[in-house]
Amino acid sequence: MSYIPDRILMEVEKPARYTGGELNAVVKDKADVDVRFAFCFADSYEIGMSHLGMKLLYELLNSYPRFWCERVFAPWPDLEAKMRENGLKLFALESQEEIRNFDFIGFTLQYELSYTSILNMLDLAGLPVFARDRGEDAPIVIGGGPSCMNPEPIADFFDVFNLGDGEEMLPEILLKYAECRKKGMTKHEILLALSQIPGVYIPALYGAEFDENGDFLRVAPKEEYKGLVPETISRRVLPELEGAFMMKKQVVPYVEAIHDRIMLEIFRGCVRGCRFCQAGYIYRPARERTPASLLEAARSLSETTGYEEISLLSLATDDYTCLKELTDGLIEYTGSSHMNISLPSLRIDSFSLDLMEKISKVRKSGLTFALEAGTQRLRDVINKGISEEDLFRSARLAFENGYYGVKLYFMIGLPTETDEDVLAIAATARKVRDLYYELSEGRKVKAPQITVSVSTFVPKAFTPFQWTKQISYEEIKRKLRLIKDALGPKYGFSWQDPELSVVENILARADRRASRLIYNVWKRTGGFDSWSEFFKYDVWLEEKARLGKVGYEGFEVKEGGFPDSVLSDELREDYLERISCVLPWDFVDIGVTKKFMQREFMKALSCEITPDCRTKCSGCGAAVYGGGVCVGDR
Amino acid sequence: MATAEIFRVSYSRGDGVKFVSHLDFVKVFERALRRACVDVAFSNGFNPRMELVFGNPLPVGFTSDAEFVDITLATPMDGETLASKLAGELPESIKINGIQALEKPYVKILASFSKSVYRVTLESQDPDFREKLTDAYEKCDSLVTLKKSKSGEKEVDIKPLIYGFSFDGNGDLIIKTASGPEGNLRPELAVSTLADAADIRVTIIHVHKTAVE
Repeated sequence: MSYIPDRILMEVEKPARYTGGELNAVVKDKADVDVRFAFCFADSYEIGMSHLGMKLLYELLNSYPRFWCERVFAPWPDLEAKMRENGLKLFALESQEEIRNFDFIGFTLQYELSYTSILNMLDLAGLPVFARDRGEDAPIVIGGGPSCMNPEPIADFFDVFNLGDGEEMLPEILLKYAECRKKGMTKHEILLALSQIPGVYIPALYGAEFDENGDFLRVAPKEEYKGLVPETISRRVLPELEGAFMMKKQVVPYVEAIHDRIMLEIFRGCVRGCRFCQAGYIYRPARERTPASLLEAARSLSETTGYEEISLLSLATDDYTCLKELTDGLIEYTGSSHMNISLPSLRIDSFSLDLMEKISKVRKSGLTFALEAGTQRLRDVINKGISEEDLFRSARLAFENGYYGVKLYFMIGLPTETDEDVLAIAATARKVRDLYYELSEGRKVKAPQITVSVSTFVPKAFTPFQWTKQISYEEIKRKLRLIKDALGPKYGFSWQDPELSVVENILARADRRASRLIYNVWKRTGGFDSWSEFFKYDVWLEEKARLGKVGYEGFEVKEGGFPDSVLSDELREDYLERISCVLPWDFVDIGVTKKFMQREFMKALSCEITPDCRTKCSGCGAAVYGGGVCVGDR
Repeated sequence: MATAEIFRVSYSRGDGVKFVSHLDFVKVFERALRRACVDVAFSNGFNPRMELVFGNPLPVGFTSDAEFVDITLATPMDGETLASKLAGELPESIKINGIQALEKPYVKILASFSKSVYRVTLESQDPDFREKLTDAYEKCDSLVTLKKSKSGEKEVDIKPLIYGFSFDGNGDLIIKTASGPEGNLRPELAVSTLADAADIRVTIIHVHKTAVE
C-alpha cells in the first residue's frame, strides 16, 4: 500500500516516483531490525537515483541484518503541496512509513544549493529544522558527502556529521547507536558516545567563536566538553578501495533516472591536483580497484539489474592505470549481451578513438574537452595539465574520424584572470573551427558544431584557491558578454546562471552564521534552489544583506601575473599574511595540510605547475592514510 | 513442447505497477528478459532495440488482466520455458496468464483486438447513481462530448463506441468500449459524459481492465 492515497497520486506528475517496490529495493520486517535509517537525497527522485554513493551505502547498510536502510527523495512541488494540504508527512519508499519515527535521517550533501531542500524535507517530515528544537524521540539527523567537509553553514540543523568515506564509518556509527540504545542512553549520551568515533563531528558539542568585528575566530569544543571530544575532526578514509565493500545489486527505478545504468567506481580520488577542484583534494589519496574485481562486479550487477548500459565512474577515466585491460574485458562481456559501455570524461587519443569504435553506438557528433581556461598562463595557474596542442591533436584526430561536434568547457572568474584570458576562450573555439575546415581541404562538409560552455568559478574550502574572492556579479555578466560577443553566431554558447554561482559562493565557505541565512531563505521560498525555476536570487540577496557577514569571503588576487609581472616582495608578504588567517573549516583535517594549500596558492601565482601524484609526490599530507597512490610503486 | 520464434504473452498488471507509465513499463519488460537470459531478437540499425510489440498502452493508474506483448526471439525456444523464465524475473505485480506461439503471417497485436472490458469502481453522494447512469445510457440516442486530441478538441458521439454497460454484484460498473483501429474510448470519458447527461457527480475510484476482444 502506498503512503500517498491513490486519488492524490493520480493528480501528480510521475507518481511511480513515490510508490517504491522497485527491483532490488530492500524490504525488511521492522520487528527484526534495531536501526531504521532514512537515507535522504535533497533533490528529486530522478537526480537522487543517479547517485552512486547512495546506492553503495544503501546496499552496505542493508547487508547488516539488524539495519534497515530506506530511500527518501524530495517530493516534486506538485506532490509536496498536496501533502501539506492533507497533513501527510515525508515517508520512506520501502516501508511507505513516515520517517519521523526512524532512528536516523541521513542526508548526502552533494551541492550547497540543496541546503534549503534539506530544511524543507525535515519540515515536511514533521520535525523542527533546528537540531536544538528536536526532542528526545526525534531521529538523529546525520550528514555526509562532499559538501559537509565544511559542515558549519548547516551545523545547526544536524546532530551528527560523517566526515569521510561512508562505508568506512557509517556502519560503525549505527552499531554504536544500537549498543547505546540497548543501554537505555539518552540522545545526548548517545551523541557524546558517537563523538568518540574517528571522523564524527557533533556540532552541538562545539561552538563557533567570533571577535567583536564579527570575524571568525575558531570552532572549538564547548567549555563543558573540553578534553572529552576531539579538537580537530580527522576525515575518515578507506585506505584501499580494492577489497572494500563492492556493490552486487542496485535498485532499478521504474521512473527513468538521469543516470539510469550500472555505475562502476573504478577509482576514488584523483592524482591531478587542479587547484580549483575540491574533489581533487577531499578524496585523496587516489585509490583504484583492480580490473578483475570490477569485471566481477559488472557481471553481477548486470545479472541482478538487467541494465543495458555500464558506465565507468571516477574523476578522470584516463588516469585509471589498467584502462585497457578493463575495457577489453568489458567489451568482451557486453558485446555478447547487447550492452553498451559509456566512458565519461575520456581524453581523446588514438587509444580512446579505437575504443569508441569498438564499443560502437557513439554518435559521431559530440566530443567534449575541458580546458577550463583560455590561455596557457591561466591553465598553469590552475594547474590544469592540458595544453592547446593536446586539444588540437585530439580535435584533429576526432575530425579525421568523422566527428564534427566539439564542446569546450571553460571557467570564468579564475584567480588572476584578465580580459585577455577571457577573450582567449573565444579564440580557442575559433581555432578549433578553423582546423575543421582546414582538414576538409575544400571538400563540402557538414558545418561543425562547436559549443563553448562556461561556468563561473566558485572558490571552495580545501582547495588552494580557498582564500580567493569570487568576482562580482557584474563582472560575471560582463565577462560572459565579452565571450558571447567575441564568439558571434557561428558557435553554440551556454553558461551557468551567474545568480546560482554567487549563492553557491556564499554557502561554500560560510560559517555557522549561515544557518540563519539558509533558514530565512527557506522560510520564504520553500527550497528546491538547485532548480532554476524555483531559485529566488533576490530573496538570497535580501536575506544576506540583512544578516551581513556569514562566512569567509576571500581576498582579491592581482590580475595577470608571472611571467608578465613577477610578484613584488611587498605583494608576496601581503599574500602570505592573508593566507595564514583562520578559516571556518580549519578544525576539519582532511589529510591534505593547510601548509600544502598555502604552498600551492603561492605556486599558482607564479604559474608554477605541480606534477601529478604518480609523477612525483608533492607531500600534500594524504600519505598519512597509508593507502592508494601514496604507497607502493604508484 | 515445440519451439517457436514468436510468442504472444498475455499478462496482468497489478497494483504495484499501476503508476508506471507505458514507456517505463517497456523497460521493465526488457530488463526482465535480460535478467532471464532470454535470447530476444534485436532490431537492426543504429540503435538496436529488443523486438517487442506491446498492445495498447494501459493508462497510468489502471490495473489489468488483459495485457499483451509479442516477443520475437533470436534463438527459438519452447513457450513453457520462456514463460517460466520470464515469470521468475518480472515484479510480483506482473503475472503471466498465458503464452501462445505465433507463426507468420499472424495478425499484429494492435489489429487483434478492438474492444476492451473495464471494471470501474465508482463513488457518489447520490445513492441512486447506478440507476441514473444506466438510465442515461439506455435512454439516449447519442452521447456527444468534447474529446481532446493533439489537434485540439472536437465534438464526438461516443455512444456508438460503447458496447456494453451494466453493474456487477459488487456495484462496480462493467463497461465495454472501443479500443482499436476503428475507435478508442477511455472509460473515464464514458463515465463523465454519462454523469453529465444524468446530471449527477461520480468519482472514479479505480479502473481495472478485465478483458479484450
